[in-house]
Amino acid sequence: MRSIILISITRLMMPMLLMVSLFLLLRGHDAPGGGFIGGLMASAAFCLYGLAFGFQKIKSVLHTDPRVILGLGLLTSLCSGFLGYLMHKPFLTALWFDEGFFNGVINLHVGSPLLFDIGVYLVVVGVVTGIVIAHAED
Amino acid sequence: MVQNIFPNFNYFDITGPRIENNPLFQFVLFITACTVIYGWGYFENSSKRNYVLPLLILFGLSMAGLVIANHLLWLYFFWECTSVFSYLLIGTYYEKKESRESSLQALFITGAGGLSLLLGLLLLGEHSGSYYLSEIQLQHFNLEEPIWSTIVVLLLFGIITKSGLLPFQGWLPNAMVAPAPVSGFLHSATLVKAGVILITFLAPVFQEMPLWENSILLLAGLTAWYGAFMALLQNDLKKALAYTTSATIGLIGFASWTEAGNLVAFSWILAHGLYKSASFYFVGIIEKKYESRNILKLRKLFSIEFFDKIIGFSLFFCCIGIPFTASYYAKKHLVDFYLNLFQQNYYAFVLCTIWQSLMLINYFRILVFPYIGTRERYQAMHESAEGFQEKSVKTISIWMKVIPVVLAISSVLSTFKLSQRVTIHASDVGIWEYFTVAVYGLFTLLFFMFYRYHHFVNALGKKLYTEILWKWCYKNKLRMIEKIAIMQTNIVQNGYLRYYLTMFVVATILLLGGSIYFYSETFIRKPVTEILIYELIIVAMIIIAAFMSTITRSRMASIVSLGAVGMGCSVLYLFYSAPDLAMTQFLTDTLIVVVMALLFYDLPRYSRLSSKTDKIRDGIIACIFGGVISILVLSVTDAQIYTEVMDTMLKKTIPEARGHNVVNVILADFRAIDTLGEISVLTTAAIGMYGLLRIRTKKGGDES
Repeated sequence: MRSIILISITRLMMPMLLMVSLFLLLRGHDAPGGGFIGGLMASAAFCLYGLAFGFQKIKSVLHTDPRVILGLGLLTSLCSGFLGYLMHKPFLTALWFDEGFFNGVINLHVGSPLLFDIGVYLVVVGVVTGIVIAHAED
Repeated sequence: MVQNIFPNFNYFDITGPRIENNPLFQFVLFITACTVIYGWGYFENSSKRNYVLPLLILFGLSMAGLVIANHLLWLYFFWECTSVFSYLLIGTYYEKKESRESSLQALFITGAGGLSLLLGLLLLGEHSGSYYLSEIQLQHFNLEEPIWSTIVVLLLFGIITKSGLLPFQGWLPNAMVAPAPVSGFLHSATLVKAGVILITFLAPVFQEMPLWENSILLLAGLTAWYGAFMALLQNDLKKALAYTTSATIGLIGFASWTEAGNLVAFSWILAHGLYKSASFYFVGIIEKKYESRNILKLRKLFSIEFFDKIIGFSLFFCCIGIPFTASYYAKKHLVDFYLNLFQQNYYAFVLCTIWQSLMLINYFRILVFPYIGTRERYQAMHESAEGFQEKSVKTISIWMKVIPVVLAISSVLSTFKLSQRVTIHASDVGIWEYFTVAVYGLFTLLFFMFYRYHHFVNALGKKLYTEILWKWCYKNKLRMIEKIAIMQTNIVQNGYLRYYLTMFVVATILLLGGSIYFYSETFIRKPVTEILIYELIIVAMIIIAAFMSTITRSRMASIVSLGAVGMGCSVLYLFYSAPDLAMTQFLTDTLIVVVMALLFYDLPRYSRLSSKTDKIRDGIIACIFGGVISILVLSVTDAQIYTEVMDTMLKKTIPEARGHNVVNVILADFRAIDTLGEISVLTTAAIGMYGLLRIRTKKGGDES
């Protein structure tokens, strides 16, 4: 049961939803949003895609297995924690581009919490899409 | 209670002052290293190598953690680690039923002791006002208070189960189904020593308490005698060794209850650990080479190699404590201690001598006796070489041969440490010598008496063991527990999902409702603020949607109504200025609806399975549950206990985390380690779910 309306709408909505999810992720530190919400948004987008085109197709949009995304996300978050060690600071210390080591070189208000959030984002996407795909395969 | 533990709970301050110059720590690591090397040789060409060696290392590390742990909860953590790893190690040959049974027995007994120990340690921590062992040891308490008796009983239960003191020593000889490196390790440095080591740690606190003193003296003394006698009855080399361990642990326990006996206890722990592990590894070599552990069978072999004889003899001398071995000094300390303890009471001294002689017989039977039967003697006795077995000797790895030698040598070398602390006065030396001579004389006498009734005694031992100890004392009790468990499971978990759910909900109601009823002083003190009309509309919509989801006949409609409940809630969050929460709730609910729709797609249609009375009962339970949760939420919002936390978080957000969204700053910066834990849990859950789904798919595939 492929609905033409759903497919067309999905084609329009998918990029927008994904963009919004990235937007939510990036602005999370200063305004409502963040990795978790962004990740949920992105997974909702993928679920929409699955509803329209069949859940098996999600994998081809992701270009990889959801479990890989899951692992990458966890690794990213962990790495952001280990960055603190490089600067001889405790695990998970927040580091910023516009202060400390890079101050003046790169004038950007971006730091390791963002990296951490990206990890959370990836984990959430991996979990939800993984569950949905696994169910669909069943 | 919880608040007391955690504010000064420093994650990494495990050891405190206890790590510096701790001979036990070095000793455990040394034995671990030896065992791992030995195990490397023992499991050559065996698939078990990769199973045993990592576990041995973990086991050794947890024991090392135990001897240096300063915080009581860390102590408990390492204690339980040793229980779990010993369970896995005793069950090395898990293909065999015997192995599985023995490992389970060890886990049951030490696990039960562990629970009691946890309670004891928590009570000790609460009532002494400190969770640090080093601080507790320095304090003096009024031990007359009844609470201290409870603490001592709880702690002692944990200790005697772990150390295999009577009446809980059954698991110790059964653990002999494990391969030699494991049993050697269990019996020398690690598991059974944990209990007596804890006794020595706690001795400064409780030594003036009659309950502590008497129960340890009684149990440890009985165990010492019991082990010494039972070892005589065994023909299996490893079982006999296991009982001698029991006996020695009893002796160590006997000395360690008081601070004055600490030196005795520690020197025995070190000396015994060295010679006992060496003996076990030696027996492992014998077992590997000649494929038998039976003393009588080994005696019929004449192909025992010279090397093995030499090792056996020298280990025998290490065990009995000839001068300049570690156990020589350990025995000297012991005599010193007895002289002080019993104030020149020579009855105790005679008993000690007899006990020592029995132990000598045991070691002689294990380490010398099986290997001195020669072909000539046997022929002279039976006038034919019949029954003589000429087996080819298996070759073994060089690592196996090295380790007993290393341990024997270190048993001699470690005397440099022990001998420095010997404080035997000149007048006592006479007694020490009488003692030694008496022990050796008695040993010779008893051995020849014993040798005549060898077979009879062994048959007795076997019967006693299988009939009484294993079947009656353990198996029957276990069966009883199983019956109770089955009964209870039939009531609580009878296989219907709806009953599980009911049970869960009822339990939550009782626990939550009970604690609210008994502990919450007030709730809803705040006056209800003005309710706006649109809030009212939303609440009404939520209630209607919730009601719809229960009465609708269509599954889809029910899922969608549940989604509507969630959406309504998220709108409410938005009103109360929690945009992050609202967004999360909104998205989660959307996804839940999608996933649930996907899940229920293949399910059959709704059908009426429950009767009217069932429905009414479930309705009542659900209403009570809802009520309890509402009360809980109301009282939580009312009780503003941790306002300072909120204030600090709010104040620090901009200057320290350089962000304006407090929620996100807490999640990704202040409490990032919590979030890291959460996403790990999430990942684990997803992987688990994935695995479960895989299993189902596979099964379906097989059937079709």
